[in-house]
Amino acid sequence: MRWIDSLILASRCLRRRPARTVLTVLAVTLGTTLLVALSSVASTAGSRIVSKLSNGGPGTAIKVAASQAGSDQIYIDDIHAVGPKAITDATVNTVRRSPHVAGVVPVMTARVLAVPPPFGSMAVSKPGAPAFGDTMVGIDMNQTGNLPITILAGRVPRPGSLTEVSITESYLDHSQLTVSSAIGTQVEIAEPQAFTTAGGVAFRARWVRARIVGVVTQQVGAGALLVPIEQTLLARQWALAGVDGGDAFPLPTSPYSGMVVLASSLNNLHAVRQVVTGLGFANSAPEHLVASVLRYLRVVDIVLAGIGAIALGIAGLGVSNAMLAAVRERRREIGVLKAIGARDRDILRWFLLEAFAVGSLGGLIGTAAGLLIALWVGVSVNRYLAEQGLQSIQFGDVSWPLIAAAILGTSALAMAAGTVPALKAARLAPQEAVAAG
Amino acid sequence: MRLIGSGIDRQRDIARGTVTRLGSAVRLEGLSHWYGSGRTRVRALAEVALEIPAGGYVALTGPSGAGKSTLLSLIGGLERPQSGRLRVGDQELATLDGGRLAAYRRSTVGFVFQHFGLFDLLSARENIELAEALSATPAKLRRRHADDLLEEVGLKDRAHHRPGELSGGERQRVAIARSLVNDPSLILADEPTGNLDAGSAMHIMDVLESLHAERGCTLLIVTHNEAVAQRAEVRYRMEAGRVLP
Repeated sequence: MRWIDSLILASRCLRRRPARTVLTVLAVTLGTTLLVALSSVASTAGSRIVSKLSNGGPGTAIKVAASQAGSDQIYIDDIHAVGPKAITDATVNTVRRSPHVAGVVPVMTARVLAVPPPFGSMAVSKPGAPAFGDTMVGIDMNQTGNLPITILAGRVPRPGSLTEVSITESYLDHSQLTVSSAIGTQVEIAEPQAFTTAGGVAFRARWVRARIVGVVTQQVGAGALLVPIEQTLLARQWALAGVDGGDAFPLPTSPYSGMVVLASSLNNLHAVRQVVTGLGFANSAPEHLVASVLRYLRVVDIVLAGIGAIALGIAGLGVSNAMLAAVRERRREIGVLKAIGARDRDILRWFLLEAFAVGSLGGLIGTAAGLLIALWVGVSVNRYLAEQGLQSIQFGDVSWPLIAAAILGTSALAMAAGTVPALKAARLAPQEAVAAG
Repeated sequence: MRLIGSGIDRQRDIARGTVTRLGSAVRLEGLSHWYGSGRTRVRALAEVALEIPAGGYVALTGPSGAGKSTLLSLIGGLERPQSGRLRVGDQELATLDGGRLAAYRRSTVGFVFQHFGLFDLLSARENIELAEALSATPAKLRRRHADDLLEEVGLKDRAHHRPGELSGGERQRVAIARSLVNDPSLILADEPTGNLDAGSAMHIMDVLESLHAERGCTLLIVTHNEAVAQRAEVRYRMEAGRVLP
């Protein structure tokens, strides 16, 4: 008998006992739903916890400073700097070519004077005046997804823009603006340059006016303004065209003030840190903290998977029981089929396909239901977080491997559960056909 | 042991071209069979010797428990003989393994049961197609052949009806049509009229005899019904696992 004929026969037989079929499918559905929902929520929660530990960026990000690393740098998560060390394009390229490195994002900062509205033309902050000294943090805006940056409102500047900035909450504190009132306003930025006069070193500024397009929290560098790296590059070139301003405004010695190095996976984070530290750069990454938390999350995963597996096991028993009942009920039909020439493998295939149909249908519905429940949990959690004034968590990521594993897994489980009844059916003596008369 | 004369007549029928071929001869020598084991062991057949020539038409009668159905099961390859020899055509059945025994049932034997043995969720045509599917016949051929067989038993217009929508006699005719899918040389009918009224029973016997006559297959019927048994060319009576002389 061909597979398709066996499948048609199996599907017809399932329709004969609709209540039993529905209940069996329901058992598989519930087991799959539980497993998928738990796995999905645990996976999302786990990745968000790691992201949180990494200040909104990927857990594989290493923050590298333009500083010499202390001797114990590799053993601690925080930066241990013992002196300046320049990060050049050659440094960036060396790290980028190292094994297990997924990417390198250079960071360039520039000290500026920020003047929020209402604008004046004073280059010096006075008591009560809105101008304040701060730092512009410049990055490649195409890489924001790989960096510890969280957008609180609005957006980040467009890549390469010279007229857009995003601000941090520090700017809001200085300007006494709120998130909603700050977005869309302009800020005047004075980029200083020291020059020599007869009386000594004096300062002048290159004035730029930019529009605030978003509010962010960021751990890329200390500064209230997050801008495209092109803006900090211009500010840096302008400063270097002048002279050293001494302690008040020293000339930058390192082309880049830092860089963010992305390891290809959490497992490779330590190896990449070793490379960076080996090059002599102070760096930080939540390596030990993440590893510790991941161990706890793994335990949680195992417990949740265990609960789901128990549910699926019960569903498997349900399939087995239903199939055994079907075998008992169809002794005569099995006998007749054998009497007219069916081989043992024809009978085996018939019952296995019946179990497969129940398992795959239950798996399909259960997976969809599990994902919906995970989404619903996400909405409920976010509603609670919003009520508590906390930042929301993004749920509902569709994990295709999880979906595939759930559907294929339940199908395989149902077939495994149906194996004993199917073997029993296949081994039934054909004289049942005559005896049943 | 007795030679059935009609088998010789059939050789003449083949020569005339009125039947296409001669069915399988059946030869039993010292055949014994038991059920159960130890204290519960029961002898179902005791040293049965019987010879049915190719193309013969034989009826087996006897009381319940006489061993008729057991004999039918053994000849049909549903069970293996435990003692003695059983030869159908050129085949010694005891030497066949499971797969070859299934192939024997598929290609040589056509079973007709008292309970019809039809799948109630399948239509008359699908029941016949299912039997053909066991031989992996292509779907198109199966459908055409099933229609031909239904026509042969006079049920072409009932092809789409399920067993529950057919009368007892019609169901048995579907079962007969199904038994013919592989053009068997041996038809074994276990109480084929047991669930039918007298009129339907005679009609079923007409159908079986007509097929026997046209196809030349060997026909062995187990029955309690004397009227049915009397229609056979040769009758045997069984009692306590023995074929009476």
